[in-house]
Amino acid sequence: MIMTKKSLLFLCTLCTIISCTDRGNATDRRIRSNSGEPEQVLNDDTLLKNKGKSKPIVNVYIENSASMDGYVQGTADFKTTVYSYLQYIKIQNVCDSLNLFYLNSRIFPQGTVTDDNLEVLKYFVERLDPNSFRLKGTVPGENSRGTSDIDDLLRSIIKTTNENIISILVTDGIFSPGSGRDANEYIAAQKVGLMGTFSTLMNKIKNAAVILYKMESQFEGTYYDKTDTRIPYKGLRPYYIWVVGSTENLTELLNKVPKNKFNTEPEEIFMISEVTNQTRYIVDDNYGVHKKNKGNKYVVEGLTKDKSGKVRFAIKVDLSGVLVDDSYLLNHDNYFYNLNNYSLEIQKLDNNPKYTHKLKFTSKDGKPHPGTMSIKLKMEEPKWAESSNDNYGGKPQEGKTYGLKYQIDGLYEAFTKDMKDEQKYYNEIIIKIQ
Amino acid sequence: MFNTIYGWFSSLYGVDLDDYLIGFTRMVNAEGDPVWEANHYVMFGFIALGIALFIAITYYYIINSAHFNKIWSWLTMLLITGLVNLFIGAGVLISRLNSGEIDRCLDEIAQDGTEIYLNSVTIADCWMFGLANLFVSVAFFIIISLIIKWGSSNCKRSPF
Repeated sequence: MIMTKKSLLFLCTLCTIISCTDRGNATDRRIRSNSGEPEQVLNDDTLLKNKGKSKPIVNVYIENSASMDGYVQGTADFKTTVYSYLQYIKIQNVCDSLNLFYLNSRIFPQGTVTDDNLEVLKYFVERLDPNSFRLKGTVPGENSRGTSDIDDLLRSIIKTTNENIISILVTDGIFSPGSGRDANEYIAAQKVGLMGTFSTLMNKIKNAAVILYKMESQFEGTYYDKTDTRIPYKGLRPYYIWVVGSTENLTELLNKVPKNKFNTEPEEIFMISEVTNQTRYIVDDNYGVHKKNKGNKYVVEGLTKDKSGKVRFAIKVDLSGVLVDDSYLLNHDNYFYNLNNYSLEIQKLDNNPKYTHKLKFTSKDGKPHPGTMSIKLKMEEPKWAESSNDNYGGKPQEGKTYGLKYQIDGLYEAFTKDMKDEQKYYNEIIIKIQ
Repeated sequence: MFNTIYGWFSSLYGVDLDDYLIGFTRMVNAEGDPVWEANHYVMFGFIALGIALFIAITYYYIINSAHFNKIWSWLTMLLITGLVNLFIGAGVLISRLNSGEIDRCLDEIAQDGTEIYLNSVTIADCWMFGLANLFVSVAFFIIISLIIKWGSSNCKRSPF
């Protein structure tokens, strides 16, 4: 068909009209700021920029729902601790850039901290107050600060977490479904929701890990109970810092910013990571008296008394792939082992490039007991989950958060759901004693 | 093979010297792996075997005398084999003990100078290894004798 001049003109005009219509990226969300600042476009690039660099990106989300106002009103505790933690993350070179956000039912960018503009962080923390939460962290006409669903918050941050991103969420951990609703009806569903959310994380990242810090701060403002009743309160309240990412990135973060770098040390810590099946270990020939065997590293042969009259042996093990607190690894109660004629003591190895800990076994009766020794590092929920849980959801209880246990249950279930054994464990070491 | 043979006698000279002889050290390399050195049992085993073979060949094929083919003749050669290996075994190890070579391999000292492990090898242990070496070389001599005696014109019935 021969195009007529009119048809061609029509086609050109149509193409021109289409090209002038900018629908933008489907994931763009245009946020209008009440302070008169230019519109900010929140798209995947903002959250995922610099992907591919060797240092991870760190995205920090401060929950700015109404229940958080009391932490940033008239008190410096919370702000000082958050500032010192984030400052250390930057100056210890954990990342090249630190992206800051407010988070409720939406995500609101608050700036990026780089080596050239560290003052952005100072400015951000200084202006953490209820006004800033309202002005910079809401959309006009929406009551996005009125509800607080931990599952939703974590799901939002996990969407943009990958092997190259560490996501940090600072939250009071209080579940609030909204005015007039009783949170009791929804609290059990939180656990299921969180299990799904963390399972998504594990599908996204190989060797996913989570750190949960329980912090404490002065609080002065309105406390919201489980039915959203407002209770004026002044005193100490817990808040939580969730850190989500790969085991490798979180281990690096812990090494560079340990708990003593917080302005106020965490009250409690829980860490969990995916099970590793590749734990490296070896019988320590330098410990105890037994036949030395160059070829077989997993056998203790000819075990006998040493000069001190003790029958003992040790296994050097690399536990660097397991994200748990040091004190957890050094506690012998956190290990299952089947030959109970031996007692266990754990020593940290400081200068060994290949192994992180030494498991030292000593015969309780001074005699060697042959057999196959299976040693497993337990994977357990923290005991403080129960003691920090507020079961009632009424007036604020000191050191407790309503529904916290369900959150930790959901996290734990996600990481252990594929384990068939009654005993949940990170890894297993097998040694033959002959 | 030599590890197994000498292993039967290791209780004579103790665990520390046994560790040294199999090549074990308490040193670790830069990667944190244990450092193993040469297996000295292999060296002593081949020397014992070689000496037993040499003395047996000398008896059965070089001396090969009708006046020197009785049971006491054979026992003399057996004794010579054993004593030579006794002195070689003990002598080499005493020399290494005195030079600090055994301490270098078996002692473990921390960076701050704390003694983590000190070996307990003594000169007496070295003589006991010499004795073990005597037994091993004697065993070799007996086995070699039974194999090669048949070609000897004057000694094929020695020791029996």
